[in-house]
Amino acid sequence: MIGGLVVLWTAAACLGGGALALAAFGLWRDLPAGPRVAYGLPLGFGLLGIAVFPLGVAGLLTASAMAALLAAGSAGLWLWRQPAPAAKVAPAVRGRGDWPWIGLVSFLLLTIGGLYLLVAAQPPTDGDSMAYHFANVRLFAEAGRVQFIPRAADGATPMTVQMTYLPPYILGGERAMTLWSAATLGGLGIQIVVFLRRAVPVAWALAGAGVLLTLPVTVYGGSSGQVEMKNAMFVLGAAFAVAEAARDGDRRHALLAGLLAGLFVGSKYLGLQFAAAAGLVLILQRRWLTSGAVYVSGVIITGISWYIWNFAHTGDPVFPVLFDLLELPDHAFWTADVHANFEERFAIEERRVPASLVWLVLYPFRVVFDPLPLFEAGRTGPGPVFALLLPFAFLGLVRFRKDAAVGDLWRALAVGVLFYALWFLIPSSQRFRHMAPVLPLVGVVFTATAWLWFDRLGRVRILVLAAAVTLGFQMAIQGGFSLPYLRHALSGESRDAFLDRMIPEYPVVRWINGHLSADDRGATQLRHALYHLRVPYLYVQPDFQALVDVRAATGDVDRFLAQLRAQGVTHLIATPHEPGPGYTGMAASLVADGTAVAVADFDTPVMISRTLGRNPEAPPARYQVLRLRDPGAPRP
Amino acid sequence: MTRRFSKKGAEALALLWVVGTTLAYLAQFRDLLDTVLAVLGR
Repeated sequence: MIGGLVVLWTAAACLGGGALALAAFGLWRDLPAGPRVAYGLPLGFGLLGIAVFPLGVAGLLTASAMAALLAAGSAGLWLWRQPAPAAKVAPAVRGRGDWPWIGLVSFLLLTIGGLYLLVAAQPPTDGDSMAYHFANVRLFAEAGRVQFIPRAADGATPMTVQMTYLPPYILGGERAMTLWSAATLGGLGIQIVVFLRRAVPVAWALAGAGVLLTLPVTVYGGSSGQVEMKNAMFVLGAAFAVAEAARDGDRRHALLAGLLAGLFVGSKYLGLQFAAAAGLVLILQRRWLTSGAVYVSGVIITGISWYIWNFAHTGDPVFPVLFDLLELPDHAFWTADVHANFEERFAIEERRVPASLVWLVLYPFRVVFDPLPLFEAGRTGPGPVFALLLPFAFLGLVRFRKDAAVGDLWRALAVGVLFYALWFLIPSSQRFRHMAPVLPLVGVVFTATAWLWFDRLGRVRILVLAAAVTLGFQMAIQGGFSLPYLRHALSGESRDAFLDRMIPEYPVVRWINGHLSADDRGATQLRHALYHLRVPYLYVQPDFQALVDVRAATGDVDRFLAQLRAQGVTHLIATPHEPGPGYTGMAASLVADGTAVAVADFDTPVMISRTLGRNPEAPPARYQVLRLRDPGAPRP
Repeated sequence: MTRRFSKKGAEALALLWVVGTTLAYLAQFRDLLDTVLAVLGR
């Protein structure tokens, strides 16, 4: 109950905060109701994260500070008293409300939203959320301040979106945070409907939202703390603001685009490539210099804070990307050796195909029809909708290119395509989900232009078939994904029993929580269980940190032990192994020479997936909890 | 007559694309279907 109320209050603060920001630069009064929400909601959402961050740095992560922040944002709802001008809707789609269809699709949307909230209301289990999205938020809330986490990729990284989880977590606890994270999809859904409504009838705008909110990749991350679909709100808003700014030369839209692009920059390094893409499309107009300057100012205002934070702690604003270029000295948490290993591992583990023009074209098709395992795009891919709509969207874009609404769609699509090209050609991780933020934008453009083409042809029924097939398939996937959570919600199963079922290594975590105290510290590589640890821990990631050097080839056990002790580690969670290099090998060396002793053993099942459950054919995975003997004593 | 034919032709091609693309997409999940059936049969 309290969780739901906190979520509603946080949403009100975002809506109000966005209204205040839009009013501050004079755009509010000229926006119809739909764009007020479609632009104001992501803006207010991101600004909430921007506002929480300095409070966190100042050690003010308290319930009263969070409540004051939400109250200040909510005050902006007062601006809604100001009447909004009428929306511009293409004459062809005005008055084509089809009530039975609107009713049916609205029912489906409510079902989709209900399933997301149902999953989010159960204890969190998503791997990345357990490793950092929610885990870092919990660390910050318990410390009462934002702390520097000396780990690349998931520690020292922009976290504007995760900052928005702090007010719900502090005011309403875990369930408020997880519900809030899922509820943000509602904001994305509203944006999709508003931008689609400019070109298509209401029922189709709602159907488009239904399809785009159930893409397999959205189902996979939508109920978790993952940031992709939150960043999609910034992408969608910024791309259409760019389109409007480029069309009219209105600098207020250029500033809005910059602020929204900056929020993506402040949420993920990938946002830098997006901001560059949006900026390039924006300056293709007559008033490019002033609009460009205003846009860049916006990006800096909302995007820079985490880069200053990283620079202050590491000397590298984009840690660890510029480590070599800036010729930085070794830190306790990052060294030249570790950096070389990081770059080598990145090239091996994150990239499979060349960053060539041929693969730039082929990659989306491989992702849809025959993804390589590294792309992680099979069960968690984009679904069939983009391939289904591609030829008709292209025909619509060409046929109606002179329409004002389609002109905006062209510009918005250009932002998305350029972003994709920059992402692909500048060596980045080729995991498909990094492109997930651009999918709703492409989906809006494809849906609108395909509908225009079929409508002119007088054969919209083909599009109905494509939408029905896609939505049916995707909702079936969402239903299957939600089943384990539904079972927990209906069965009265305990939290521990549920987590035992969903996170195979959870019994180890349970033992640690029951046997270690706040004076102990456990070293672990169980990244997808970190959030559930209730005692101090050190995540000994092999490639992203140097506090305890556990790279695969590292075998200096004395140094390993010294680094563990320097970090106050008393226990290790490790897989039984022969003595040798790497974390498990060196842990085994400590056991072999008597420096550490096994105090608990576990056989844990191997999962096919959270949805499909355990793999009965795979032998169990083994874990041990090791206790370091005689702190301070040398090895025998 | 020509216009009606071209509309019908476009509709047939569009239908072919939708059906073909859907089947081509679903083909990648054959192995997953086996796994799901195995799990359900347990």
